Amino acid sequence: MKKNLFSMLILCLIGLQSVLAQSREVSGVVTSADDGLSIPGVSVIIKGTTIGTTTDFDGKYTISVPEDGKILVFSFVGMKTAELPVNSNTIDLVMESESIGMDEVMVVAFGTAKKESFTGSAGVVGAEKLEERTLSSVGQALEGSTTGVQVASTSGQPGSAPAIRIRGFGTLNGDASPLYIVDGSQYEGSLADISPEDIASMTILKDASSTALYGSRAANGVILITTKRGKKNQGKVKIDFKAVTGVVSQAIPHYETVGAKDYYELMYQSYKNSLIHGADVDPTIAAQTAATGIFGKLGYNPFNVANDQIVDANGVINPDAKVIAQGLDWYDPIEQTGYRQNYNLSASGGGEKHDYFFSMGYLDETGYVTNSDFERINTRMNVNATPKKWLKLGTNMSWSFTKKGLASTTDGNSSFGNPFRFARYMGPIYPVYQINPTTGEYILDPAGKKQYDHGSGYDEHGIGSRPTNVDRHIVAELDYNFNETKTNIISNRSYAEFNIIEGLKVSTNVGIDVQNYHQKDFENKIIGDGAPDGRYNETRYTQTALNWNQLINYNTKFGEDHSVEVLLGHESYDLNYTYMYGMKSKSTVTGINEFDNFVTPTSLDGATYEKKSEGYFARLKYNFQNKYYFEGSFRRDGSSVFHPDVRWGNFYSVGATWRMDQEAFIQNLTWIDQLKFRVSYGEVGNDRIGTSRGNYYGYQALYEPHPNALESGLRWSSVGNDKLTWESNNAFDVALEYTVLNNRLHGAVEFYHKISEDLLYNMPLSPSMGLNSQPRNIATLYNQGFEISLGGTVIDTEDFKWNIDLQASTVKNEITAIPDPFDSGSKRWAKGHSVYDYYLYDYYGVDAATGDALYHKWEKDAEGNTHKMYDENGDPVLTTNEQDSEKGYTGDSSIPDLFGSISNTLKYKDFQLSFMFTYAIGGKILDYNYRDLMHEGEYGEALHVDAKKAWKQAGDITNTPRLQSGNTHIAPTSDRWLTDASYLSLKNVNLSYTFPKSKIKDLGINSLKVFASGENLFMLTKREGLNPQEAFSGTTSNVYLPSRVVSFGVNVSF
Amino acid sequence: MKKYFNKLFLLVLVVSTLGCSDDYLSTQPTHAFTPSSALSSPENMLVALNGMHREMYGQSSLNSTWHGGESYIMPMMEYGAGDYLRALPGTGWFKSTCQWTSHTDATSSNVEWVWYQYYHLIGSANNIINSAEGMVETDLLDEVLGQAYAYRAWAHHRLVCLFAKNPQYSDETTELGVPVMLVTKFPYEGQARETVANVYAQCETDIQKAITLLTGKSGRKSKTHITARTANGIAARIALTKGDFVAAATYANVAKSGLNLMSQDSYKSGFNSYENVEWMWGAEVVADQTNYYRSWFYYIGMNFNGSFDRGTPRIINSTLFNQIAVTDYRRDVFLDKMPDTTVAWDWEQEDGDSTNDFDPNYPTKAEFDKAVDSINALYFNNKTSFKKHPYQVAKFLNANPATIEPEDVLFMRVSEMYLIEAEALARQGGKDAEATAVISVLGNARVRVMEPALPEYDVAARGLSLIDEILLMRRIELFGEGHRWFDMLRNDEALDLAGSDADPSYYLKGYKQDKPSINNNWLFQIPQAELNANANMVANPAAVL
Repeated sequence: MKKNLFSMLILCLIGLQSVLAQSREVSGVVTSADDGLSIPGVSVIIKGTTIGTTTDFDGKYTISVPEDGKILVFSFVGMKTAELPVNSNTIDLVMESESIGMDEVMVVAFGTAKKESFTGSAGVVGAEKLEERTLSSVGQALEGSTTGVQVASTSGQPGSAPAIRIRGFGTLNGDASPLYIVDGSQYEGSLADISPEDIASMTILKDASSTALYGSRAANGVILITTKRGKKNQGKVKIDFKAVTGVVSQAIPHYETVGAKDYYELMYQSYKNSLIHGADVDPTIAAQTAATGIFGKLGYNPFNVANDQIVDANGVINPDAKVIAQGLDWYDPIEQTGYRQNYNLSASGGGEKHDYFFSMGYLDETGYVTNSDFERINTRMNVNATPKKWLKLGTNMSWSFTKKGLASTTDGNSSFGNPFRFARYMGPIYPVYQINPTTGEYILDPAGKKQYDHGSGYDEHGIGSRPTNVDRHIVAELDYNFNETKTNIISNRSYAEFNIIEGLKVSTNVGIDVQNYHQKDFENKIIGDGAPDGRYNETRYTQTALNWNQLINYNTKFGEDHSVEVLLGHESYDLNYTYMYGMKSKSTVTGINEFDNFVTPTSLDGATYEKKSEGYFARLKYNFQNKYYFEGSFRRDGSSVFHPDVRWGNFYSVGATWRMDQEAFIQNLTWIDQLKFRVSYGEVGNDRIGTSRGNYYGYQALYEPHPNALESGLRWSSVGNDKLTWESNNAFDVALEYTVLNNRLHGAVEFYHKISEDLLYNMPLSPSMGLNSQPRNIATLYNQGFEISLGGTVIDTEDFKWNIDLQASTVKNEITAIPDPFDSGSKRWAKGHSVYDYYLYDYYGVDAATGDALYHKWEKDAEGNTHKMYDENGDPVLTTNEQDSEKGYTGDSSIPDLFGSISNTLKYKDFQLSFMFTYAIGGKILDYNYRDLMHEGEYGEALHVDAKKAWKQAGDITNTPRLQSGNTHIAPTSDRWLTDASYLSLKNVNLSYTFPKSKIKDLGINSLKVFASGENLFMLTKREGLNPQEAFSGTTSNVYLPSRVVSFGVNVSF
Repeated sequence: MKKYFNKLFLLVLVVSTLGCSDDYLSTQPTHAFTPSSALSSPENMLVALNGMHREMYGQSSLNSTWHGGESYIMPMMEYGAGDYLRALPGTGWFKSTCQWTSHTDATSSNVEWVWYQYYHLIGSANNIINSAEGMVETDLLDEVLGQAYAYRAWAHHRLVCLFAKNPQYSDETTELGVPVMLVTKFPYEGQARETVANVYAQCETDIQKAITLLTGKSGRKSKTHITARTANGIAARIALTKGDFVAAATYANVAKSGLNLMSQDSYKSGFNSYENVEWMWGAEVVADQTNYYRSWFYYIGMNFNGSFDRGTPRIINSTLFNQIAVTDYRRDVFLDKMPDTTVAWDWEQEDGDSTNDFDPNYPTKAEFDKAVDSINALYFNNKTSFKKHPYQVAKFLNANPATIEPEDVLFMRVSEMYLIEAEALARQGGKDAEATAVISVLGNARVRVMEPALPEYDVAARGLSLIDEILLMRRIELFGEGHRWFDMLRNDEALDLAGSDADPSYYLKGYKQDKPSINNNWLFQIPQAELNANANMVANPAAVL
């Protein structure tokens, strides 16, 4: 070493002599791409020489470059080495950290791990990826981020969080959502309450080996969210500011529905056929009656022709008919352009013995539907200190306040108060406002304002009533009603860590989340459920989650080759939810949404629900020569959901990693940079029976209060189950991870097989039992799949760089044991089928002679399986009454064959463009919305354009049966509504420009970036209006469609 | 020293926090109680029984549509049965019932609700009955058990009526009835359907036990509680349905003895209060236990202020109305001359077509408007938003017109006992005189009170046979109260709305149906949920519509 130094010195002296002859002075600043701060100690060497220097305290350097010195090489530990041509006297550099390498440290269960040593399967979403997105909830960022993760955008309501499934569907009860751990403690709030700007990373733990330490809660995967903390920065305070503003619109178009003229013709068919087939009227008379009488059925005439002359006896619209009625579009008045603005300010820093991060943020988003909005104010303070060698302390405190207006209030899929249902199914002949039936013009009130048409008739104006949604009016109700939800969440994570001796640490961590929720809901007295007096309700709850653990950590080395790490721990978890709900009716004055303003109490309830669990756990890690890694975990968990005799369960995992690149025979292969093989097996558990709070007491049979007037009363409410116990999830995982071709290409191939046993389910009992469900451990199923990810640098020049990441995953789901198969909605759960295999009536086609819908009959065999019936000639046995048949497996499932994402990052000089597609191939969606728009001819309800293909007369060859009001066999749920669920969606685009250092340094700014981004820009689907990502079960309903957000922003740091 | 102190401190910390106390994981609900406490004593069982009383009429979380027990089922028994009609499509409530597409559909929530609600009451009664084994007999226990047995009989009877053919025109020893549930416990294996005969046998055993246990007890606090008298009323219904007319007449006589019939004023006061002298069994509904838009009066009333009531005037089948004598004050609760506001009359006759351009009851707009105003004042608290139609039913009226205040719910009243006794006597043969005497008491009570007094009720005035006269009196008296569907099943009556104001293109398959003995469409389908979960269940024959 000394010798080397000596020879270097000599060489330097030789070099210096030539420099003295002809050289020029080059200087510059080196900063970090991560935080924009200068980096001291970077080595700067002239390529091909030994001439060099290092950057000073401020990241500055000055070097004399000889005539033949062309390139400067910058290197620093943990950063990517950079080579820059000497083409000016000032050369600044932004150094990037080595992020893709296997040396990366990642957050794992109860600690961190080097990626190289990790024996489990996990994906990481870092802050830099989150930065490219304009999201109100980080949940959306999980889509396409890692293989095996599926996302359903259940609602586009501002501030809503998507549903996530990791590696298939490991439970039957509908609560297969992963466990969220925020900074080490289970998180029970909404993801939308956490500002994405505060998040440093999200780790998605996918297999049992990585999740086993969470034992009982880990069966459906774990998402670890780590918030930001300050970095050591020699006492300097770093300030970041980000401002984003954008517009919000509807991402998916509406279904195509027919206009007024087509509607009248189709409804004529419906009426005529109901007379012929429903009331045995002679066809000729029926045609006449329908022609003159269809107006009477529909009630409104938007045309300029007489009421009895809209359609002729052949069902053809009057050629003179022109639509004169104003305002027939019901979407228009409830939709708007939404706006979004988001500001975040943070300050962070740190010294030798402390670090701190402080942030505050504000978000205001209005949705594209009136009355829907989301507002969030959040702050965070994360302080860590090491006052003594043996002591480390820290606390991370966040507070957030949110305010939400709900467009759909509390109403469900089929309620009158659901704007999506209301506007979608309103026939195209009904005006929003009262119009003069003769002129089609608005009838204005004395103040000159348009007046809502409630659909119940206005005799004085000769306006009849609608056959649908009578006395209901979504535009008016959204206008008059009031709905607001406020929450505030205080979240704290604190710890103390003691270094007892070298390698032995003892720590205790406390996490507490307190969520206060307050919803106010006013329904007006003019129209809707609040009429005639007006009514008001409030829901308030406080949810307190207390998570406390104690950990003992020991690591040591034996000799050069063996290192061992041991973790022992205990954890307790207590979730307490206490709520109150009240309702009063009869408002005194309008505009005051408080109980005092209402007269008659109609409801007042409240109760407390509590769920607790406790666990003891241990983990042992061993590695030999940083080549072979072994890891084993064990956890014993108890849960209050189960009977004391059966509440404790044992969970474990084992895993191994072989770093093949450390082997001599691989090291000879220069094209291989890194190669890692890993395998794991583990068993984890689940105690969630269902989503409702009542399930906290799953094993207990219960009676609920149900007073009878002034006498106290109790009603029988659940049967309980003493034997109910843990659902177990047994997972095997094997993978090969690689980086090759000088880091140009990297990826992984994974396979998993996950068996879920003793599945918890609120098993339907026959209703004759008096209660129709009981929680049970009922079945066994497995999920298995391949996951392939491939990333590469396609182009890598000095100015232009293009990275692509491809991901593809498969999921196969199959029930392997179930004692009594049973129907669950449009599915049937039986051995050999997935939980999402459709089980439906078989729509066969249309009887060309009558226009009837025909169904191919299924019959049941002795084992209870169904088969399609054929007569002795081998012809299918058909029926026009689907209920005369059993149902059968259609052979389709809602699970796609393949799904994944394609991400691109293109960099040109200081510009960066990134965009991500997500896709799914295969799988079917049971499009209930389409079914409801293809109804049998309900008077007043909108029809899809495909209804124009309906059978009209004998001989018509079509696949759409006749329209016939009142005939429920025309369009019931059947396989007729199954639609290919494949899609390609452009989820996100981000274009940014980072100002060069040289241009901004005089302004005192470290970095400055401007950007434009778009979320949910387009989606290719089989049918216009369809959202194949609405639900994992593959059904559609009347929900808030996803939002498209296009925004612009600026990011500056000082 | 300091070093050791630190370690000591840490050791204490770790040891003291590792592991929670033994009962840490024992949580108890605050929203509910365990059966061991709810059914532990007669006092507690009375509370559980009260829960059942509430479930008879209160909104229920058993069902995602939050139906309110009999508040919903009784109207369902009218809408498909041809006497209580709707003049306009209005909102969708009971549309499928009118069109006969719900009870014929195994997946319909109506079918499932009826089945589930009755079996839930049966299961709740079983819990009480089976918990009482070994308890010391007290008056209170008798009273609790008597009511539980009465519920079990009543609910099984309702089920067998709806889901199976009436034993009077089917072979009751082979006809499939419904499962008889006497125990509800693990493993909750679905039971097969018993024969109709067996179901009736169980109903009779249970109701006799109820009568025995309840006779002589009088701890009743409200009319939701079942007394010996109510139990006799239930027994009379069961016997009448089965065709056991001797028993029916006897039970009905016991049930009605000592009770009075209501007066003219009372009859016209809206059927909204449990305080009515005739009510034997009914529910008092208090403001903070409202059913909102699941109230009985929302479905059946005239001036409940709900969108269904405002936009969907309900009318009496005019063929029935026309058979009500003008001297009978029950005629007054049907407004045959109601101004028709469901039509946009062309008073000016601008189109030159003079036919039907004005309300036939009101030849001028002035007269029409005046009538509308006075009706609005009389029934609707001057609110104009209620649609009106001739033959509108003004029998069920809110105490405070045009509000959404919940009204009481009626399950059984004295007149029905008169009608059962009269019918059962008449059907026995040779007891026409006794039957005439009984029906005449009711008939006379319904003669309009006038000065000078009108002639007495004459059983032969309409020229009908005695039995037909009694059945007609029954249709008139119990109109809208949830009996009609059961009566049509029992009496094997066909449905035919010809001659009424019902619109055949609205009623469709609910316009005309052959009588139940030859037409399976009358059968409620066994709910799909039951068929799915119960391997022993057999479906009813599919409807042909």
